Amino acid sequence: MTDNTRHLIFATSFSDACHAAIPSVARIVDTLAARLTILHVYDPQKKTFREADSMLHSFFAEADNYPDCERQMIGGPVFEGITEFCRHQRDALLFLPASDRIGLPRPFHRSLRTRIIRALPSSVWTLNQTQKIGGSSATVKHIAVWLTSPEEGLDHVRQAAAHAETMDATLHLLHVVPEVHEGMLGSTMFSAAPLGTEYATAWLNRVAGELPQHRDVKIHVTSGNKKKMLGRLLRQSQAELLMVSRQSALQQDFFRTELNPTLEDCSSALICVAQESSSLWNSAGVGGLQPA
Amino acid sequence: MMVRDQLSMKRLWPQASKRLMLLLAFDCTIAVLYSVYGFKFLALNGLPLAPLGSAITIFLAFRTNAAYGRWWEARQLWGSLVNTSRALARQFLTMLDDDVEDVEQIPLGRRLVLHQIAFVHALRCHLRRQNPFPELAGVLGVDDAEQLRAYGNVPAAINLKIGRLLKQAREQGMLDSFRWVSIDENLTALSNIQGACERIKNTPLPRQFDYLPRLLVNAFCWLVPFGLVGDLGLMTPVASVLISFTFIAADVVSREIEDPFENTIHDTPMTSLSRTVELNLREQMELPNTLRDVQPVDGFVY
Repeated sequence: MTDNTRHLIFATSFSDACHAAIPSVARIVDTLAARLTILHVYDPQKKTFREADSMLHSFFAEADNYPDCERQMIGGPVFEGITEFCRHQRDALLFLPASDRIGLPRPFHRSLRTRIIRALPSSVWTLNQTQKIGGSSATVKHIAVWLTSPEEGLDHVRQAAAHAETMDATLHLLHVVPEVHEGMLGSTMFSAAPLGTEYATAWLNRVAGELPQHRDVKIHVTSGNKKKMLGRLLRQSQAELLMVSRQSALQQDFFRTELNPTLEDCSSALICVAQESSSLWNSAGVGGLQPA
Repeated sequence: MMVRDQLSMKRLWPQASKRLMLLLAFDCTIAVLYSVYGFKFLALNGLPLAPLGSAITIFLAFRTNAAYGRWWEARQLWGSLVNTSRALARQFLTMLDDDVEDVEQIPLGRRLVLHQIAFVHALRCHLRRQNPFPELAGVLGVDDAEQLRAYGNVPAAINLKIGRLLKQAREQGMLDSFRWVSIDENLTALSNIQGACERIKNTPLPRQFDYLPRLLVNAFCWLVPFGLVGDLGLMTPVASVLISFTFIAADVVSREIEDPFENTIHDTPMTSLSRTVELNLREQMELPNTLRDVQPVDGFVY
């Protein structure tokens, strides 16, 4: 696979959420002129090969007319099937919608999406349940990238910049300075994240200035509750796509790792960028970019 | 569109669960306050639940009927699109004067049929707000698909392109005026079908029909335990939640089918119908067929 390969893997369980995500997939395939693989992992105990095959070929049937589309089916456990397949496609972008709402709280539920984001070396594109699907031929005009601290690295900023360049979109750098309180003393010892809006603005300006693709970069900094303020910044920036690092996409609590609650109500599509940059969007030439 | 016999509860539950759980908690509170703590004033036996329920049923039936009317009209329009597409393909393949020595003529007929297939796909994408271009590139070729990017309304642009190709055929002497008029009638039918689909898509059910039944169902569900608690005591929540579920389910079901082009499980099965058109038309052109029929997935055809 060459550096310029653009490959999208759409992992599907044929759920309503997967069907609802089809317009988004069509948009990405068109925008990036990407190769599409529709992947289904089935349980041989519950479904025969023939049933699974028939369902796979009837799902997203219009993709049969796409210039470069293939369907892949794997028998076995879902998590292992998807990760194993994607491990051999490191340059691909995995498309993984949120699971369907079931209407009841699931205290012991282990999110497959979170496990996959955590385990995979490639980037994952996902949609939240609250996200409304965009217009038919509308291209992405605003791409946001959320920077939490210098420790998370700048892989996701590089990829966002490269993607904005490809899409001829405006790049928005977002940062929310946390509210200052006594409990922060501990966390500030382990992070160099700025604690004031002026410092944060200066930091983001330095990051923006060092980007090779910096034709149109806008800085958005505010302080307050992360969840509320990030939503506000996204609305302000009109971003259709938010790129975050894997570190900030996931949150570890006592029992499990879950998707960062700050991103749960995010109104735009989300890309969790893997630490090792995928070459989906060629970001060569920005390797020297380091946080100040 | 659902094709299996049973509607799984997991389809209804997510939409109804919050309301039902709240009502269950409320019903239990009323039952306990009345039966255990002796708050006898909570029993309102004189509450006219039956007439109120009948009035709401009329509202709900009216709303469900209106929603079903929209869904059925959408299905009929796509049925007539299938028929018109077949008729047009037949005309394209048989009415253009076929001079075997002129190799340009046969490809023109086929090109028109491919545009007809593209029209059906583009209309589906237009209604579902989906990007049609990767698909159009596969059907028409990259160059023809690229030309269509200049248009906001892609199916209308394809219809126009078919008209222009026919004009070209007429100028080359492949088509006389009578046949031109005959084909043009079908092209107008396509425009009418598209317009009718857009009308359904862009005109929601009047909001009063949507808002009032929901408000009345909610009010009724909150009143039910007061009317039942005097007779049923601690069993009130069971009966009350069952009655409430009936009304909430009717409300949810009609709400789900009122928009037939929203890319949900209740959609008109446009993917399946457009595949049927493509298979039929490719067969008419005697092209090798590599596509499969669209089968129901988990009991739903899309």
